Amino acid sequence: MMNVSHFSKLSKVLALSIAMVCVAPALSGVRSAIASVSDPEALIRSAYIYNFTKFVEWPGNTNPMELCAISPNQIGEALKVIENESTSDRVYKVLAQAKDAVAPECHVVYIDTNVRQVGALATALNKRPVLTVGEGHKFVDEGGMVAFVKADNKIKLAVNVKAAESVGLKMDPQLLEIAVRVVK
Amino acid sequence: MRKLWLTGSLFSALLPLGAHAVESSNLFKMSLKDLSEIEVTSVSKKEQKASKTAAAIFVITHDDIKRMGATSVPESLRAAPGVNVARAGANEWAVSIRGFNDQFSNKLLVLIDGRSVYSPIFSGTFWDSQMVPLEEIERIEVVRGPGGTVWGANAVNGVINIITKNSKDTKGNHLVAQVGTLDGTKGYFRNGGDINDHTTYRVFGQYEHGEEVKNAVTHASADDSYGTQRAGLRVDSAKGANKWSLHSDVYNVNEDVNYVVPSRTSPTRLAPFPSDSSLMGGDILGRYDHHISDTNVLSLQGYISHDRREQDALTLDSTTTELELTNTFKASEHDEITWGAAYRNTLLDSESLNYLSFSPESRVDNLYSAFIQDEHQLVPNELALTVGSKIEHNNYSGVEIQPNARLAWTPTESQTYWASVSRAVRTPSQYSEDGSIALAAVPVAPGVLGIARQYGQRDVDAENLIAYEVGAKWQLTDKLLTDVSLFYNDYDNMIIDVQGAPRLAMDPTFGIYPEIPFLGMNGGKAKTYGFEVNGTADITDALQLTAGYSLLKMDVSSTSTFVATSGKNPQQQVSLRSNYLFADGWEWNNNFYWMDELNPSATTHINNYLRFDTRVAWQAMDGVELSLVGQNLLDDYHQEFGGFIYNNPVEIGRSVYARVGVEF
Repeated sequence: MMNVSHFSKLSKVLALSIAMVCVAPALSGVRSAIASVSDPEALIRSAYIYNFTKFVEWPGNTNPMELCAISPNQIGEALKVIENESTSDRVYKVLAQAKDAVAPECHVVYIDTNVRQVGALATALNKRPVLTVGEGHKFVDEGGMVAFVKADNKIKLAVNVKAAESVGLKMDPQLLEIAVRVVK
Repeated sequence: MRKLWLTGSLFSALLPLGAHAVESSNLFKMSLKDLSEIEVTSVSKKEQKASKTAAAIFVITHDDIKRMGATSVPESLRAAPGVNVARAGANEWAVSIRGFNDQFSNKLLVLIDGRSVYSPIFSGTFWDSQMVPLEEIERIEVVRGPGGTVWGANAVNGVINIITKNSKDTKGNHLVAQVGTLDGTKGYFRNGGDINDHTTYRVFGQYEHGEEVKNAVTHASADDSYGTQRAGLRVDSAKGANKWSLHSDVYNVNEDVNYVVPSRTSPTRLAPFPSDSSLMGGDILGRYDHHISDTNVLSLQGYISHDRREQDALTLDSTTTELELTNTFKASEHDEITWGAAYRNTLLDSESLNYLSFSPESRVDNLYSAFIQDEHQLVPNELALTVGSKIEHNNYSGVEIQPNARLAWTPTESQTYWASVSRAVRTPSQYSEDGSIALAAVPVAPGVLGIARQYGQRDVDAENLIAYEVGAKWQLTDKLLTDVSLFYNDYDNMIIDVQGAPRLAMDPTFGIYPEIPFLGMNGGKAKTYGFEVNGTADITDALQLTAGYSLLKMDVSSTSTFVATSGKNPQQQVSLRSNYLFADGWEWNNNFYWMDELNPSATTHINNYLRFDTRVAWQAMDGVELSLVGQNLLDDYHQEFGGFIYNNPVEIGRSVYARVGVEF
């Protein structure tokens, strides 16, 4: 099947190739914050929240962009990954402890379902230009702005535009477009 | 429901998934739309669903194409195992799957968004006129093995489906400027946006110029530079249970061509025949999908396409109109049925001199087809049997039946074993019925040169194939995915040349001369076998490796100019590609392709070659990417193919190109 000259040429090729691709990693450190987050769903939520910061317009200063979570779960850890996405134009700061959630500088507050009186909290936050993010259709019904809802094994969005506009937040049409439900 | 988009996605009948299996490290680069399409269960187990498919499938994503530094669709196919890509000119490629590579690889069906670009004139693909701008492509799905049951005739050895991006994902402006020493000097611009709250559009334009390659015999320039202009439009709309899209493209290509034709007067028996080629065409395709229920989808697709090739010695026109209906529904808890019916009309017209000509010069062909396929869960989620068949009637070979049975066993989430038996046919083309070509000037008596001429024949049957395949896919760890497929193909009724009685002929080109006719008739047999292995590994979060190996053995009983010889395909192919994120915003890609030697005829030998391409890309700021690509860096020149008919063989050298892409 494979004669000798083929084989030696082939092994040279492989050796050279492997050498070429393997030197590369030695050259610099490897970013691996993502590796520490094991829950893929938390990462998807976190990627969504990162996107929200691009598709929502806040009144006032958004640099640094501060992301807060009232959450005992892994979402906090997943949100931390967003800090890696900081650029010179926008620095992301993630405050993942419960006490920080109501800090005045928060632009986004994620409220986990395990938090009691989610609705009341969301309503309380609605007096400031803070994007409130939570779970389930109930969240937007109770005055929250964006909720993650599961459908067909996918994480979709429900959005309450009215609540967002009432505090001066502008949602990009692209965000509304992918939402499975929009409260106006 | 992605599973049900039948013609939108090639394998949807076979493959539920595709592009949306992602690595977690890419999540932050994904659009909102993409995020909302991720199946949560597939995130941590990459390509889990592809790994459950009972077929040898390989998906080349838009990112893969970029990372390869490819400058055209055929070049990007080098990534797929089992696919042989051989460049035969500045703007010419021979591409095949599992053997029989040639100028017109007639056993491979190529589709662009469900529209066939397989030429009904010669059986095969004119790659030079089908260069979809790479920026438009979402992914290329490559299936090895017969696809006749769903896709119909000519999907004998495989199917390549080029899928362009939904206009929903290409809003805003994108400008690309590229300059290169061989390929890739181009400008591309697209603009996309909303028409209303559920409809989006995209328009694009591209200009491209390619420099000449070298003549492999004289090592002088092959003088075959080319220029192309392309423009296109895509509109997508989705509202509730309905979805529709409209696709349209126009192109114009100008190529310098330097043919070498048979001559009865030249001492070399060959005469140069420089001819400029002008290719132009366009298409318009509409598609409508309606969800009758969650488990019942109806799709209707129609298109018209026109292609014209104008050269000094030959002008060809073809117009294809097709209407296709498909429906997928759950017939019971354990059965999912897909069926469809289609009608295709083809108008062909030619004008020619006496080198390559058609008699009659024009014809009208009609093709009627229907298929049905049932995916039956023998053991739910563990053992599935898919059986189906296509039946079609064409006015070359009459009724053709192409059945297929596939068994897929998925004992665990991370492993799949599959086996398949299928029959596929390659129907005769306009050329194999009505065409003739002057092959060579040959001495018939001392001092007398005759012309050997090949003639197509009416009443030939379709070539047929019975293919046996087995395969396995393993997700060894979260970071390591491998798949292997083995095949044994048994071809019969292949069209071969049968020498006829010499006769006296007369025409304005050759005068009065003795002619030795070669008649294209059924009678050839071939057996091919081999395997392909492919593996993808995430070595670290910043380094991915993909490696592939293909082995192909061909045993062709009778060879002729109609049937590609076994020596036109490399026995072995190796590819190794790496993607390394070496610093924030920086990417470095290395791509190696090793191709075994070729022996296209008893007297010609083409050495094996190693091709090395490298690319460095820098995301300079949000929406701005700069990249530098070097291709063929390891050798001065190498030859990849024996040469097309009337063409000198060429050799490909080193090249470099620089690219700036801006999104705004």
